[in-house]
Amino acid sequence: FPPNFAPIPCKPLFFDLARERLEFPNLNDRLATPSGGQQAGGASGGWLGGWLGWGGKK
Amino acid sequence: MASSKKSGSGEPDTTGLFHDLVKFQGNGEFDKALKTCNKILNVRPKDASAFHCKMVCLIQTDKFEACLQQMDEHEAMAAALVFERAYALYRLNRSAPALAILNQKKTLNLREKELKAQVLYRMEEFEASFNLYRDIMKNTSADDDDFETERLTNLSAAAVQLDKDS
Repeated sequence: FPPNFAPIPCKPLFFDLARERLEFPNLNDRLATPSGGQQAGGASGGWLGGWLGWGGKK
Repeated sequence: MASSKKSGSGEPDTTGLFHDLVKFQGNGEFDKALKTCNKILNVRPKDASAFHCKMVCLIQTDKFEACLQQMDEHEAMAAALVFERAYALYRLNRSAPALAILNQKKTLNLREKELKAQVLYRMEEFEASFNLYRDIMKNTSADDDDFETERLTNLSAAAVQLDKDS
């Protein structure tokens, strides 16, 4: 015969929240345009400024 | 303008490629982003940022073994990527090594704590997991992220299991 219905504990929900935190590092310092253009030009700082200094500018 | 594509030093300009990466991440296009990472690494093999992005892409596309293998091959660039390595191990059900890596760090940031709580839960260390979730919830607010509810669910899951044990 079919067994009677009985309550069983359900498996609790559990979310993978760490995955939501998986992202690229901050890339801002890699996004500056080397040609500088409108704004800072050679004074854009960081590694870009470094090679502009002895690149085409002077 | 002499400094358009290449500077005098011969460094290839990867700025455009990094812009692509940001765009691809925004759209969740991690297959495309992976190719872009490889393009950058082809011309700048020691680019730690591109390597970091590549590891994220591999995980986002469920290539956990490949991620760990790449990290083993490039120890210097992988050293700082504790979270990524531990997460890949966690997804491969290698909880003990994942926990060991997280425990090597003196202080964990929020996402590392979050991952550790999940690892502990999977290892059935429900009390430790529960306590860690409490700690995380104390130090986050609705301003920090949109996952307060889900985190509460995880805390409750740990609490329920804890209750069953005792």
